[in-house]
Amino acid sequence: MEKDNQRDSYPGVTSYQIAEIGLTEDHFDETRPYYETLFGQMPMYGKEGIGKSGIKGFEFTSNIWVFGVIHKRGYLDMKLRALAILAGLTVGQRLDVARIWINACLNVGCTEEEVKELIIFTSLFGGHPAMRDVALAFDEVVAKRKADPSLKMA
Amino acid sequence: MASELYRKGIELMRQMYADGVGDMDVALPPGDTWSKELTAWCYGHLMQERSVGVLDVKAKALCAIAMLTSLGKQEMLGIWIGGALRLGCTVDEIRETIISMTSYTGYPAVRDALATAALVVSNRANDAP
Repeated sequence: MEKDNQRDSYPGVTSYQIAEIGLTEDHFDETRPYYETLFGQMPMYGKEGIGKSGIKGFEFTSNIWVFGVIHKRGYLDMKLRALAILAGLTVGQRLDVARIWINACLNVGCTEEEVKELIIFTSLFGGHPAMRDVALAFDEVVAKRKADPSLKMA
Repeated sequence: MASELYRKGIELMRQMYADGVGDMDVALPPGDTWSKELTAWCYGHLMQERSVGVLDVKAKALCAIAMLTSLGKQEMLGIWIGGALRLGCTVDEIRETIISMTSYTGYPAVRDALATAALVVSNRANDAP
């Protein structure tokens, strides 16, 4: 079995199941447009990869797992999924990755007001310090993107 | 006299929670007003007053579920899942929000959260007339 055509009706839902076909180049290639919509150009190509983790090849498999399996199951649109992830990262105090997802939220069409509102909302759950860190990162990201509107990752 | 903010908060809580209390059942002596202040702040201001035209309460409820999954707070997660369902979020949306956290907060937290969601959904089915 190569594709699960029954799920193709949902936009963005993955057509490959790794439980059926394993981790394949085709699946990786299918994730690329989704990934690039979120973050901009994919910083690696093919199985060898040149990602930041330094674990050669893991970028290939982890991108299939995260973006080709988890993210592409359907049921949530990209904006809402990105906002939910940013919320979870904020309360988890993962400022480094939260910054990436601030960009992702803006890249998939969230407005600045929506992202700001979400960040403020996290204060009740994760506390003011965690919210403040991400709010400051948000201001930096927005300023950089305004200075260079071509940036997808500021 | 209750403020408009508090009144709106109470209205939303009645919409979200069958008992009208939800997660505002704080363990404080009778007469302590902190839960009322919290109701006005969370359900009046953060959930509604600030949301007008920006993020609706359903989106915020799903983001709250993502946060509580990340924090591993099962009891409050269950309360918010019930609230999200009553606001009109679907079971699929709630499950997917939790599953989205797999690569960010880890599988153990997601596994627990999915179990909490299943329990809430099951209890709702049993409570249905």
